[in-house]
Amino acid sequence: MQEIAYHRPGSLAEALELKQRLGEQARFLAGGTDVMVQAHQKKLGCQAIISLRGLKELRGVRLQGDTLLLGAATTLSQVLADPFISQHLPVLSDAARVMGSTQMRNVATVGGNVMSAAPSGDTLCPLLCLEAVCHLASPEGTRQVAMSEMFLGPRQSAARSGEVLTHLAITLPTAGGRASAGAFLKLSRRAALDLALINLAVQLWLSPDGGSIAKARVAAGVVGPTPLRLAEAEQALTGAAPTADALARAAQSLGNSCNIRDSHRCAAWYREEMLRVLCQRAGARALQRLGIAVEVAA
Amino acid sequence: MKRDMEFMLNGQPVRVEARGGQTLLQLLRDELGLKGTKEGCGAGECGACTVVVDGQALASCIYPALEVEGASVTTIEGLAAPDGSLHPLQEAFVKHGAVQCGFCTPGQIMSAKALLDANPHPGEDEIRSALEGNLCRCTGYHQIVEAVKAAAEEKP
Repeated sequence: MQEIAYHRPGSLAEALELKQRLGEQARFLAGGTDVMVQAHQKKLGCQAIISLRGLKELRGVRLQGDTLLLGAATTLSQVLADPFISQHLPVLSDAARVMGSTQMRNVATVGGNVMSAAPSGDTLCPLLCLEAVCHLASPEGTRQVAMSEMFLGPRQSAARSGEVLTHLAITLPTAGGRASAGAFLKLSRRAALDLALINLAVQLWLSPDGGSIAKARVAAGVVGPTPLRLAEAEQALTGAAPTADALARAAQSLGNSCNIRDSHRCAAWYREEMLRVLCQRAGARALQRLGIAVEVAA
Repeated sequence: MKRDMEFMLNGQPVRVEARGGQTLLQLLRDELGLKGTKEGCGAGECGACTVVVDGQALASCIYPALEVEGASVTTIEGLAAPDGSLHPLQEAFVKHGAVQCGFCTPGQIMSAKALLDANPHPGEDEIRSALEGNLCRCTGYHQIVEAVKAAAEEKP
């Protein structure tokens, strides 16, 4: 790593002020699992790093009414170890569990995953399904961006230069006693230390009598330039009985809203086939978490 | 940019001058002469550089040196007793043939140490999960998992 000025501000206000002063010369670092790798590859493209690691105001998980406030600098290990998240947002725990490795999860943060905006970012599909709201801070003030508006292209988020993601606000899917559960699955060549060939998250809400799916959210990664909500699958599931048949129909509907491509890691046709498989399996796991056993063919 | 900083290294306070662009791995190997921690990939993907910071295993090759100010860092050099007798994990690695070329071994042992400190009696799944960030191209992993299990069983 070349000569770089490394700043460890003591507060968010100080971090924002530093960035405003240093401008494009400086980059924010949360866990460092992207920034430090870019530094190693000599692709950092800046002379200063502003570390957000020590900022307590960006850390931790707390509940405000029916909304979970997830600090952006909360590490993936902390997400994984959080019993409340496992119980109410298992779709997010599923993703944290299969990211990187123990060494990565101990430093990598949820906010860093969002702001890196990689098409393969594993927490992004769960956060899309949970309709998380990104809270961004800058010297001018704060603003909110819905997860569905957060990604503009590969590694390009809607955050402006100088903005810091402070936390994600997630309305609990189980708020008001609703029966809701989700699941996330990732396809990769190795079980650990690998990027997703594709990944997919499902969150389902049952009708009050449990006889049908009242609301469905489905999102997938590496199926286009950004992680995407899959509207056809959501429509196919909404109003359907919670059965394997409904999941199969949702899987068949997939593909129109995607732009699946060949890459050096995986052929497009395989991604497309496996997207349908993951959709059914993740849907089945979500239903299983709601106490509904379904057998999926694939 | 250079800065004087203090941290605990293998139980002893140290004071060093760290540079802004320096990784913890470079600080340990090049400034402090602790060559037990290895550089494999340099990008956090192989685990050879694993050290324990405040109880957590992490990849020192992508961890900024200045971030350990005030922290407690344990490297492979911190495991053996002052009289040279090996740590139970090191003994178990020797006994179970968990070392072949040896390059990944310090990282494997540090990952295992962080696991056993937090969870003295892990199941095999927990061991495999804790070691999933440590690549070994020799042993096929079986002996490593057996060694960690054996060290865990020895713990009171």
